[in-house]
Amino acid sequence: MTNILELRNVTKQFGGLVAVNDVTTDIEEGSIVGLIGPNGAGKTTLFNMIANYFHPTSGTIHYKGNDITNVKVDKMAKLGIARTFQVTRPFGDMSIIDNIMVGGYLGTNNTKDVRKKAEEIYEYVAMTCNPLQVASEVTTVDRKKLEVGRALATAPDLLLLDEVMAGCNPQEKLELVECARKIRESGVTIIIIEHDIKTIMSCSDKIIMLDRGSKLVEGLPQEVGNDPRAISAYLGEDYVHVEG
Amino acid sequence: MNKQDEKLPGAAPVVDGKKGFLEGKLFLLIFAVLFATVPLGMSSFTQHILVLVLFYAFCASAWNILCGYIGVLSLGHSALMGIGAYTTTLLLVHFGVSPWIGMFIGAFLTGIVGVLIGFPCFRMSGPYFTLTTIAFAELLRVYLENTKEIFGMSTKGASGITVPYTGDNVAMLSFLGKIPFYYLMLALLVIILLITWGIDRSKLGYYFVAIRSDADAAESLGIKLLKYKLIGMFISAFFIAIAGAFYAQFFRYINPTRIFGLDMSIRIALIAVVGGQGKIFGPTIGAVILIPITELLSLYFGATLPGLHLFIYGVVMVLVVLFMPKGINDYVMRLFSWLEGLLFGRIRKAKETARTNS
Ligand SMILES: Nc1ncnc2c1ncn2[C@@H]1O[C@H](COP(=O)(O)OP(=O)(O)O)[C@@H](O)[C@H]1O
Ligand SMILES: [Mg+2]
Repeated sequence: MTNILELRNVTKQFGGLVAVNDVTTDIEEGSIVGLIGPNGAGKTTLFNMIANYFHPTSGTIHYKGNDITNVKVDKMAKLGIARTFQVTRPFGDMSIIDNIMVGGYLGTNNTKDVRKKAEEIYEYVAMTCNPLQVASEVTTVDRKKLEVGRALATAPDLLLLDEVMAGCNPQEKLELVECARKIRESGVTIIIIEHDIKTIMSCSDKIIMLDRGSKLVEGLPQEVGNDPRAISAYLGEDYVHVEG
Repeated sequence: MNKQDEKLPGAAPVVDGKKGFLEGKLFLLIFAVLFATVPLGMSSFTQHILVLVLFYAFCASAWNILCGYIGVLSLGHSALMGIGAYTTTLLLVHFGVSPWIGMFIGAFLTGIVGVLIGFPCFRMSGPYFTLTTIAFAELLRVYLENTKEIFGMSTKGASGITVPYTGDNVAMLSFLGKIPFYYLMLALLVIILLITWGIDRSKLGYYFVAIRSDADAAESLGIKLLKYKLIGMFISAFFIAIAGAFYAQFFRYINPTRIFGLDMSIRIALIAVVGGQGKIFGPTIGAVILIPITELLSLYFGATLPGLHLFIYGVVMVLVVLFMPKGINDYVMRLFSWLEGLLFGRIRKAKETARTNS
C-alpha cells in the first residue's frame, strides 16, 4: 500500500505556544484514520496545516509524493484535499443545494451537471432538510452533513473531517459513520477528528492520538485502546472495562 | 407536487429565486410595460427625471455586480464613471470619434484601470478597502480640477468640458429630445439586468456569493478570491464607464466635481443598498424609489435647503438598515408573489368550479 500523506516533524507555534509539536506520521491510501486527543491537543491545527489554511513553523508535508508544505490554500481543492470546519461554515444566504454546487463548480462551468451532481450528493450524505432551505437555518446534523457534502463535491482524494459527529445523537452518528464508510468505499482516504471513542474506534483502520501537541500513540484501534499511555492521558480506565 | 412546494409546518424559509417558472413573471411584465410606455406624452421635465431613474438604476446595477454580489463596499465608483465620461468626451472633442465607439474604448480602459486598482485594494479588508476607493476617487477629482490638459488634450480643469452639440444625430449619439435617451438607457438597463441574471445563475454568481458569505470556506473549495474579485471589478468598471459616456452625452457637460465627486459614489451605493444588494432587481427598485424623491426635493428645496438630499439619504439609509436589512427588493418580491398567488389561485379555483359544474 502507498502513502497518500506523509508528515515529517511537523511543528506549529503560535507565539510561545507550541500547538503541534514534531509530529511524524503516514496516512495510507484508502484508509480511514481517526485523530483523537483532549481539547487543545492540536488536532484542528494539524488539519489546518494539511489543508494549508496556515503553514507549519517547521517540518514538511508530502501528498502523493509531492511537497505541499507551503502551497496556497485555494490550490488544495484542485490537488484533491478537502476539509470540513469544526465550527460549521455554511454559505448562510444560499440554499443547501447551492452550497453543495459551489464545491461542485471546481474545474467545470456546466451548471446543469453541477446541479445534478449536487442533488446526488444531497441524497448520498442523507440530509433530511429541504434541499432548497436556507443553509443558515437547518439543524446541527444537517449542517454537519452539508460540510461533508460540500467538501465531497470537489471530488477529493483525501477528506479531512473535523468533529463532524459532535452534537449529533447516536443514531445520527451511525448515519455519519455509514456515510464515511461509503465515501471510503469509493476510494477516498479519510482522516476523522472525533471525541466519541467507541464510534471512532469502530470505523477507523488506524488511530493517532495527540496530547499537548505531540503524537502520543499511533496504531490499530485495539492497540491504542489498550495502551497505558493513551488510557492515562485521555481514554481513562473506564474505557478498558467497556471494551472488556 | 414536487419537493420544493412542500412546506413543512415551521420549516425555515426557502431561498427565493429558485421557485416555480411563473414567479417573478408578473413583476417583470408590469415593469416592462410601465417602462416601455411611461415617458410618452409626459412633460420634458418628467421625462428628464425618468431618464435619471434608468440611468441610476443602471449605475447601481453595475455597482451591484461587484459590491452587491461579492460584498465589498466601493465608494469610488464615481471615479470609474468619470474615466469613462472623460475618455469618450476627449475622443469626441479632440478626434471626432463617435461616442458609440468612444464609449467602448472608455469602458475597456476603465475595466483595466479597475483591475489595476483592484490588485492592491482587494488585499485590504472591510473599511480599509472602502477608504482606499474613496481616496482613489478624490485623488483623481483633485488632480483633474487642477489640470488643464492630459496627454496634450485640454480638459479645462475644474470648469469642465462642454460636449459639442452635433444635432439630432444617431451616429454621434446626440439627440434633441429626451425620448431617444430614455429608450437608449432602457436598452442599456435591460442589457445589464440580463447580464446580472446570467451571472446570478452561473459559476461566477455562485462563486461571488460564496466569497461574500464566507471567504475562508470559499477558498477551501478552491475559489481564488483575488481572481474572482478582479473579474467582478472588470465587469462593474466596464459598465459604470458606459454610464459615464451616456452621462456626458445626455447632460452635454462634464466636470470633475459632479462626476468624480463622493456624492455620486454614495448615491450609487445607496440606491443599491436600499433596493437590495446582490439581487438582480434590487438596484432598479432602489432607483425607482429614491431618484424621483431626491430630484423633486432638490427642485423645490434646492435653493433654500441645499444638501437636503444628503440628509434624506442618511435617513433612508438608517431606516432601511434598521428595518429591512435585505433591502426593499425582498418586500417587493414578496408582495408580487403574494399577488400572483392570489391571482393564479383564483384562476385555478375558477377552472375547478367550471370543471365540476360541467
Ligand atoms: N489561530 C490560532 N492562533 C493562536 N492559537 C491557536 C490558533 N489555533 C489554535 N490555537 C491554539 O492551539 C492549541 C491547539 O488548538 P486546536 O488545534 O484547535 O486543538 P484541538 O482541535 O485538538 O482541540 C490550543 O491551545 C489553541 O488555543
Ligand atoms: Mg478542534
